[in-house]
Amino acid sequence: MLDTKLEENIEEKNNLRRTIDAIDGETNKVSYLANQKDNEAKLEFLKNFTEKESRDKIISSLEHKVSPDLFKIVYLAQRMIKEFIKDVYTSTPADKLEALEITFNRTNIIFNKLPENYNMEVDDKTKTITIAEKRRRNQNKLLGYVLHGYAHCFSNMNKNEDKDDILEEGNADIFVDLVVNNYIKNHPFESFGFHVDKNYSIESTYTEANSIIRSRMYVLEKLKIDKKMLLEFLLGDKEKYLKNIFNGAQKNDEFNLNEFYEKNKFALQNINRESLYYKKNTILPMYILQEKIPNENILEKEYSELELIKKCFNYERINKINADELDDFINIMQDTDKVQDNLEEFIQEELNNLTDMEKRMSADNIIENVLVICKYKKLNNDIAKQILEIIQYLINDLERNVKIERNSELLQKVCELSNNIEIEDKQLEDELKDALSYLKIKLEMATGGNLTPDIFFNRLQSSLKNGSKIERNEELIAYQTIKDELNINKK
Amino acid sequence: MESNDELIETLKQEVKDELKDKFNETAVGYIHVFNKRLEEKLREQGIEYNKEEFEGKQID
Repeated sequence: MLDTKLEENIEEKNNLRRTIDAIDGETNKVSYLANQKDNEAKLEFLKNFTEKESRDKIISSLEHKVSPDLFKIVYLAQRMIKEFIKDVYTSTPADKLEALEITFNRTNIIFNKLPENYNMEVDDKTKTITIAEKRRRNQNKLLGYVLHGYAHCFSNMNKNEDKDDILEEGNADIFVDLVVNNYIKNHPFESFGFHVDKNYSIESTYTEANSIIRSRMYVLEKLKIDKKMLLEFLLGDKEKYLKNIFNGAQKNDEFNLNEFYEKNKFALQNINRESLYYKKNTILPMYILQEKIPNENILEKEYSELELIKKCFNYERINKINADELDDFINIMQDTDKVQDNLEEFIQEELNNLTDMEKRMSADNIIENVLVICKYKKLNNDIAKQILEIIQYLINDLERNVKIERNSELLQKVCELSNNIEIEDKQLEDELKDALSYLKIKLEMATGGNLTPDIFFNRLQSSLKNGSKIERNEELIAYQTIKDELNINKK
Repeated sequence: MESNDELIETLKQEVKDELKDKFNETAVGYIHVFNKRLEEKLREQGIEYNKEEFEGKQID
């Protein structure tokens, strides 16, 4: 059956060839071909024509189908892609523009019911991108699917035998991010009719592919050939791309964190965390961590957060570590999945090992560091109790007018982070938040007393829940306390 | 006793719940992380996993 079909196709092509050969003049041949129905047959004869006009006529005669609900997104995606390519080259190579037009003109993009958990599929045989019917509603997602699908279609035009998923998916995701961000940069005020983030990044599960390809692209970016190489992969010469991106390594070798670092050390110094290639990348953060721990190779085995913090801060204790540096370091560790998550263990161990005297002497620094950790981790009840005790030491210091060195930094962290604290026991969580709110007042007073009765009462009002009752004796105590705290009677 | 089909359905739901915090179902390539985790779970239960054949299609 299959053989018969194949024979029929060959016979049809031979007939078409004989007919075209028999027609006089290129214009007539092109017109005849442009009126044929079969896209692939037209493309097969394209190589017989070298004149741009003839080729353009055949390419523009290709037919495709787009679901009406996708018109807007598909043509927006095409505009974005064209603009990206125009911006990459000073003069766009004709073969790339042609490959682009062929793909746009022959690729069907439709909604259809797909199996469970599929979001989209690209069928190279039928040249169709199918998006799952159930994903019809979210325009932002649809834009990502269409662009990701187009990237596969481009790549399929010049696919080689040993197709590699890491390269295919990694490059498709990068392509989407580069194309959208380039367009947003060029048209900051364009309204799409749906929300697109300023720093757009397609939501993807291809973590490994993105990490490997983005790390390689980061190195190529230093040579300013990253985007051109991506377009070689998708629309041009895959071999040229492979030669540049693997830089002498074998394509099939597994990515080795340490070897890649050693080979590209120069390009991997002072990694720019704002780079698009840092996003969705679990490898580059490891190189930043390595830079911060220069005396030891941390790339050859897996470490925990606790171990790396100790190494980075030369085994300093939490009462001595600078909270902003700790925050930055944890932030980088959170960007990778190659460091074992055990921050809670770290804080528990640190608090347990501090003497009571150390807690009293460095209460401010400890609280500042704890607040940093609360940004990333839910704390257990034991830690919360210890923190409550340390906050009290700090409040005592402030009441005795002891100068707090990093008062404004601590105050800023209390203001920004207190509400996000999560403790296992909710009652303890409320207690801790109350203590921090009291500490905040004390810190504000210590910074220059910019707490006025008005500010105080406004805060009090907003913190009282609807319907809360205050007993008469509580009111009197509160009144006296407020007077004392704000020195109202002195005025 | 649960039949294999029922068990597979239960495991599928478990995989969905497990992945909830890491990935949205709408993320490109969700099917692959889903299938990989399901395969592990089925293997733990001694159930043979029929690997999905995508027949030259790219599934995301």
